[in-house]
Amino acid sequence: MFIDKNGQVRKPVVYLADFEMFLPTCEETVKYWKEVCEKYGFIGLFPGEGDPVEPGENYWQRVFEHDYTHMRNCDMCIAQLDDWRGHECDSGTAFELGWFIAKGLPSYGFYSGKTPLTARDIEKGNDGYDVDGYMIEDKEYAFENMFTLVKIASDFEGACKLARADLNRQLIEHGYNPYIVK
Amino acid sequence: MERKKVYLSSPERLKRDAKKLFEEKKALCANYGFELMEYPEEIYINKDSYENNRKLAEKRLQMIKDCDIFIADTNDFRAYVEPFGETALEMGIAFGFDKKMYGYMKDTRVCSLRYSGKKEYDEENKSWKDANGIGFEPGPVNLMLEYSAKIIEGGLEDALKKAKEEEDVH
Repeated sequence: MFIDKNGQVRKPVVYLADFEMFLPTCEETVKYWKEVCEKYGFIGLFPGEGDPVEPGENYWQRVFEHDYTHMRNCDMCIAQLDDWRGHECDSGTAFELGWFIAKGLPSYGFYSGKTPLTARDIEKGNDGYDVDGYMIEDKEYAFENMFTLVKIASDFEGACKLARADLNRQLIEHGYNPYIVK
Repeated sequence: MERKKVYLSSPERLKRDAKKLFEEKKALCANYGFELMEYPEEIYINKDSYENNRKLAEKRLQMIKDCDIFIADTNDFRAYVEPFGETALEMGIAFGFDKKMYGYMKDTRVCSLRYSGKKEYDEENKSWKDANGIGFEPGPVNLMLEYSAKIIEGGLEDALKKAKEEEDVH
């Protein structure tokens, strides 16, 4: 439960920004995430859900539109920020998370790797820089500066817990009962 | 006439000579009639507290909101065929604020061709896969980035040329 922009108390729809669609474990993982969402009083929405995008002209443009429509229909975002083909998160996932930040909607991430950024397996060079001469920020955080705009947990359920705590605070402030996680 | 403000998102802010590089880029933007927005000074600090780090991010969020044109360096960074994560996040923010967006990269070949790790061609699906059997995005960058910004081959100057060309048309 949360209070939407129209002042109504309802279950928030959570956009699951992730790279699971590329993995063979996708179905199983998304099923688990949706169950966890349910437990915390959310409705999880996976980008691949809904009417499939038919092959044909402008296929990828239509895939973009499909996912973007889902984003616009969601109330908040939980993003999978683990490394993807290197030491960076999936750029599509980060992009989607950024969009939710701009819209002022609750935005969370989860990341199971080492923290802070200086402890990550980046090939180190000299004096706090990597081998390519880029600074590795030493700022008590697992990601570069702009990611501090979101709260990041170590796993998906942790992110749901953070979100539920924030939304419950909002409910209480407005005189409603908090959602009790079963 | 007031110059259009450009926000530049790039991992170059992390380089040892970041300030010098910024000044060069500022001059380049001025040549095209644009004003490159100055980052807060603390962006160049290596070591800081989480609290200050967060305050810096909030200032930068406001800068993206205030810019007229958003330009991203989408070159690969610490990864195969993936740009700087912070830049991808900022591109999403800029898109959320309805900004005019450009990206530039040295090599705009599709991800599967640019990927330098082990890969194999999947005859059945007529596409490339990496060593873990995972396919690639269809364009030079992830499709969310590709369809929200104009991705230009080259450097900042090439993106500025394109931006200037489009400004003149309007």
